[in-house]
Amino acid sequence: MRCLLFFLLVVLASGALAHRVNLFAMVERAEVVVEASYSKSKPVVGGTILVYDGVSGEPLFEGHTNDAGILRFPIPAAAPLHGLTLVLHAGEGHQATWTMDASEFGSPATPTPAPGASPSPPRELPPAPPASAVDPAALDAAVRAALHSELPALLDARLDAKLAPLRRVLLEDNGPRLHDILGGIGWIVGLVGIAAYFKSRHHVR
Amino acid sequence: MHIAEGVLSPIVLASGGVLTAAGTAIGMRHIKEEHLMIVALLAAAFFVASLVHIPIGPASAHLIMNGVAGLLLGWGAFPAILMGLTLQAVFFQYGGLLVLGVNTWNMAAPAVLLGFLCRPWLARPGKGRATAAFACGAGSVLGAGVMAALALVFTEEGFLRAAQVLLVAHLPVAVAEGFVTALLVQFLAHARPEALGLS
Repeated sequence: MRCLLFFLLVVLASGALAHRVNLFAMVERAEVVVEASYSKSKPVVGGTILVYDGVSGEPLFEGHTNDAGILRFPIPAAAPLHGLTLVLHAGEGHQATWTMDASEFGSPATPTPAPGASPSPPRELPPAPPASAVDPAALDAAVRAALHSELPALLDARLDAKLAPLRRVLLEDNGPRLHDILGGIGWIVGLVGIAAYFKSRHHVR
Repeated sequence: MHIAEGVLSPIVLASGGVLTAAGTAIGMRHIKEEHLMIVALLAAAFFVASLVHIPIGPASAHLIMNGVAGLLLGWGAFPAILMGLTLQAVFFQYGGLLVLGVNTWNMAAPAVLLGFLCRPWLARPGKGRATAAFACGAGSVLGAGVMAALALVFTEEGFLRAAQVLLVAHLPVAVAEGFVTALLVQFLAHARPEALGLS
């Protein structure tokens, strides 16, 4: 009987998690990656993620998190203009939201040339000149143009990858901190102190 | 057990708020001056109980401690639990301030009810007292689960599914809480019988 009870406790206890769920989403190349966890970093398995347009609130996508609490979906077309609002339903009244600003979805497809830079499209190089005879100015312009068209997207992707762990650390939830706990107890003592004060004055009268 | 912000409809939120306000008002009138410190202690115990994770095999569950409050304070459990939940919402983001009414009602109402039912048994030393305390502690957790499922009745999850999930998940918590409540009551009966109204 005791063994059975213990077994039941062990099996069932995994369902009883803390009261708070966390939702985190970021852009990774052409996808949005969503991570859902309970406090103390336990993944939300099979949680429903609803994705809405950030401005109109129109539903765009619905999916479920996998065993690691992660869901990936392609960036919706409206995201770079309006941003997204993500809502996680983890059941038992657990819910969390996350908003993604339009700017998170990188630079628009056509990068604007920086002021002062040569605005010319890559000029065609002179046909088959001897290697030493390439016009340095033309080559320079071509390289600049290539840089302008590709660099922002490349940088966006690299920065996303590099910043992702940092963002995750910032959002990491290690549960309540000691000063919060002590602060709360202080509040209780204070509030009851006030109550005691008023009750005692009542007494004196 | 703490229902998050934005899940419930305004009607459910408002009903929870009204019920909790009524319960708290009754509780405030019932608390005598000499019981204030017990109210504070149980509010503090409730506030930190959810942080105490009890290892049960590889998993862990945390206590709620609403049953003890109901058993020792009666109606006074309402203000105590309201205070604990408010601070949990503000400091730990458990639940939220708008759902405070519903969450307080969910946890306090079954505790108060079971407290009244089990209290007469506390006067019987030995097994009767321990059993009553266990029943109050465990029952209050499960009762809170049923209440939370009731609050979720208008959501997509529906009452039955929510109740099922909540009760199954909280069965180990209920057992653990029953034992803790029984231990605490047995201790108080010896050390501070007046806290149980036995002196």
